[in-house]
Amino acid sequence: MSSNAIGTVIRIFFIFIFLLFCWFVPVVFLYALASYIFNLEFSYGILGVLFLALIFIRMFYPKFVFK
Amino acid sequence: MEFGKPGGGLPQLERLAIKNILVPSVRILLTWNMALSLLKREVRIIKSLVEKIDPDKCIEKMAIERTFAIEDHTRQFSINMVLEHLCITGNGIMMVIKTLSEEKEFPRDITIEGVKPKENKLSQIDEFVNFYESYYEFIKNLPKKQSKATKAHPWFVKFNNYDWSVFMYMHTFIHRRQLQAIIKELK
Repeated sequence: MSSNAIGTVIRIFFIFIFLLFCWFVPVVFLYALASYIFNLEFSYGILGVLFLALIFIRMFYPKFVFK
Repeated sequence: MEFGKPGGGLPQLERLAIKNILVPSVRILLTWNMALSLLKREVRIIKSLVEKIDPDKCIEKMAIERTFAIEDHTRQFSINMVLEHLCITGNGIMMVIKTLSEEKEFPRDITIEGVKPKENKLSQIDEFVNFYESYYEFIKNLPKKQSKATKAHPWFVKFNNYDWSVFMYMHTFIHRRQLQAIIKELK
């Protein structure tokens, strides 16, 4: 692979990290808000599960991504 | 120096990685609006790159090493040929998105050979800017409902209207990287 091609793949990786962060931020916000409103203990484990659940849902909604 | 034929395609591993990893990943991570924002960023970058180059240099063909997701035939383009290609494909994609959004079948075959640049003209940057402005307006006014109708990309899977709008961003990004490779060789 050319250095440009390697650079492109690296950029794609960092764009994906940025996009994952864009989805992560509202999950943190909404979970923190729910924890505050319902007086729940904020758990990073549950936060992780919620985020993974969102990614899982996105695999199927609005469309199945592997078709 | 020999180059591949138009439509020669990508190396198998690269094509399969894009089809089976990249395409599903962008479908998970991108919405219509995120794709449009990222596309606008790419166009800003391309404009800032090209406006620094002497217009006569922009029509100079330059052989580069193959960049990611670009077939071998494409590595002998000038800057303006890349911009022309982006305009040709962009216009085609816009028509496909419009047709699929109406849940109609897009009747024409999409071929790689059919979107190759032919003119290499000096004023290409103006056409490029004008096209993308019209595309932004088109997407802004388009109801963001994913179509059931699809049209296959020659190399990958069947894309619906949303997929083609995301492809528009990815395609522009890939060719921005190509432009950077050409500019590096010109210097």
